[in-house]
Amino acid sequence: MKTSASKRFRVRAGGPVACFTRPEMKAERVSYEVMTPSAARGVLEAILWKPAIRWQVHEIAVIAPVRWMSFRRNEVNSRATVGKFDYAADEDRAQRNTVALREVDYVITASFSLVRDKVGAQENLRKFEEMFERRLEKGQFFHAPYLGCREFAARIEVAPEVLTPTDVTVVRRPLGLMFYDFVFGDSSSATRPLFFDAYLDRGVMQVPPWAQVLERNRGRP
Amino acid sequence: MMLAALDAFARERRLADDPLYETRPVDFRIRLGAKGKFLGLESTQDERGKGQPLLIPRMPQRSVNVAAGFLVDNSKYVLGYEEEPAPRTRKAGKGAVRSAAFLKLVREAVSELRVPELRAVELFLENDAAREQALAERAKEEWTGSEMLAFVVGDSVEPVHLLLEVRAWWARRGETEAAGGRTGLCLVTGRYGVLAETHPKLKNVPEAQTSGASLVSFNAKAFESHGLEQGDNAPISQQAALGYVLALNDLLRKSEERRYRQGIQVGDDSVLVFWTNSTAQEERAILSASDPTEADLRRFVEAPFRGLEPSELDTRNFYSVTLAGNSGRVAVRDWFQTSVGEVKQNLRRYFADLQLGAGPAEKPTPVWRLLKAVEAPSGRGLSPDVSTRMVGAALRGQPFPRQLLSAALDRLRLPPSDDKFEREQLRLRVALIKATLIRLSRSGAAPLEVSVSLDKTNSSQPYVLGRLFAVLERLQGAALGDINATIRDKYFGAASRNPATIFPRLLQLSVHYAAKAESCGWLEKVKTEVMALLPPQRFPRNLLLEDQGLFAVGYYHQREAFFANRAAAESSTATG
Repeated sequence: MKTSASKRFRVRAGGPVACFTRPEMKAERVSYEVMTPSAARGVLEAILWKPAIRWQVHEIAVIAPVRWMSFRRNEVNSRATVGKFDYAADEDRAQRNTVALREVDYVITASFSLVRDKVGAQENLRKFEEMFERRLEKGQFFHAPYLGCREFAARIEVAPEVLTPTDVTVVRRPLGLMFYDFVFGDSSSATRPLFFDAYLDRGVMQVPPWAQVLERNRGRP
Repeated sequence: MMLAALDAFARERRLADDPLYETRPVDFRIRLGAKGKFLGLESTQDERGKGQPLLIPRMPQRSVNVAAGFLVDNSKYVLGYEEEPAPRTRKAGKGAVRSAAFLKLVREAVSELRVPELRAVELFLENDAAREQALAERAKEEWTGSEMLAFVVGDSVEPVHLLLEVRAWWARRGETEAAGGRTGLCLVTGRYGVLAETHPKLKNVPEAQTSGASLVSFNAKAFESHGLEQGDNAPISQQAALGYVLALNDLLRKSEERRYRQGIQVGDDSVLVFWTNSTAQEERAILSASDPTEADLRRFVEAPFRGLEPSELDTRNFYSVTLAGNSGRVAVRDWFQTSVGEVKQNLRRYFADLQLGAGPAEKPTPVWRLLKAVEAPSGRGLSPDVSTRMVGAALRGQPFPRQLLSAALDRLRLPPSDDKFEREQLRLRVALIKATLIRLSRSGAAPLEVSVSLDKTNSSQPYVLGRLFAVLERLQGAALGDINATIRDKYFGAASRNPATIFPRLLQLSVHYAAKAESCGWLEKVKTEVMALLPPQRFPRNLLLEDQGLFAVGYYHQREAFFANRAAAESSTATG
């Protein structure tokens, strides 16, 4: 199979609040200190997603220093159910704490590749690249891009050439095992989460490719 | 990272050495004959009613479910003890179900082992009359259902559950059981392992259920994702789940002199626990400085901040997490990681920032005392996470929450409620204001000059106005003696907020005071001295929050200077 990856795009994403929830602390949310690859993918897919393309995040640069904030909100215990209208939130309250990040700023570097069976006859890499560029420049999106949770909207722009990451002096600081993405199951297998060993090297987190992470999650480092 | 650090701590301090056994107080030994005949109930309790600690097979996780321990459990499981049915619900207990569960595990062992002692226990448990006999050994009201019971057979001193063959069987069973679980990559250790379905519980977290609450839990549909259930949402190995819980429970444990062995209560609903990969000694030094007990305070008189001086262990990691209970769950309020040396340095600086008034280094004031001093009398007013942020800021060397400044100023504006503690309260409040102001400047805002005690050269307007206010109050005191409402009670708040509207009037009044009071020529002189520092223009219309803080500090410094003068004058007359 010929390798068909697009060129690398650099997208700057930031906002006043962000919460990239750690799965182990999900009921009472605690964020990872850096944006996760799947959150970055979500931002990109908000701008452009087609069945024929698949995003791969390569690195996430941390531009603003890591700052924390904590707040409590009233939420509910149930999931939204289609067709259920007589729902009384007051009887189903769950007060939940969130430890989130504030004033975040990232530069995401990513490319996409084509999904072979889904590419139409008229479609090619260049077409999608141009679509993405146009949409990013015009500020168009399919749904509002967000930082980890739907309610924390993101500012998106083409990343300027010169942006210095925070903590450029710190070499390879381990962040522990971080959530990478889901392997979405099909009829034969269930969805399951994947993790990777995250490091912040001079303010930049390198994101390994899928194959490598799948290997790691099979117990082979 | 937090769970990984806790898991590592548990391994380092050897808390999770044996996943199959734990040490717990056992209250009674049931002595049986070789044929299972009940011989007696032997109490191991000391004079305070505490059972003797004994190594026992680890107790299963329990909430409303029935889960029996192996050969050791409480009287509900071992003897089928049952309280009277609850008067309201009239629901009978689960006595029979519980004792059956306990017996089942013993039978499982008997079927695989040829140990006569085990057989004796089985015979005893099968015999309802024998169990009744054991229960009859104590008065009915004495049983609570929570006393732990173990078995001994014949003349042996070794309890049945610690016999070599029985231990070997329990270990084998544990391994097979663990191997039966689903395996996967553990997100705490990064290694492959048997994953935990649910996690053990944390005990002693404020505002959480007394029976324990989980840190990692998915107890409602809204917390699960993508059709994953329970532990699958966050794959963590059983070993790591046990490790971090044992570590936290050890830190949260109640000790002789503390509510939490290594935790600091912050606010009503949360506790900050910390740990290091340094030594327990270093941890104790940090703890006794940041949250001193009475004994610690006595020791501080001899050597302030003993243990906080630099040592070769300063590069070790320091971890801190603030936990708050939310009924069945435990929430993380704050979490950070730094070095031991950094924390020690920050603590010293914290006390230096709070230092107020001349004299030797004071005893450390526990954070909760400081916060109590700025709380409204009703105990409300500070939002619950202010204390969390305050303690975090002290340990991290960061600016204090700005809310503290306004809370402290609010308390100064109100007339003092209690004369007895008034001076001490005032000191704590102003110390807090001073520390907040100093820290503000470190964060890059306009630097504010705040000294430890009266600074006669400081010509910053709010500071001088504060001093002037103290002088005027003193003048009034000299003229009128003890009166019900002094100018401080009436005007402090207004004077610090809007000097232009208050000061001209106060100055006018002071002329009358001066006329009335004899022997206050020197006070008049101080007044002139202070006034000379003010610019010739009018008084400022209003002061910003930070400036109001400076006003309070100036007021306090001048007031303390008066006290010091008087003390000096009195001692000189006494000696002269």
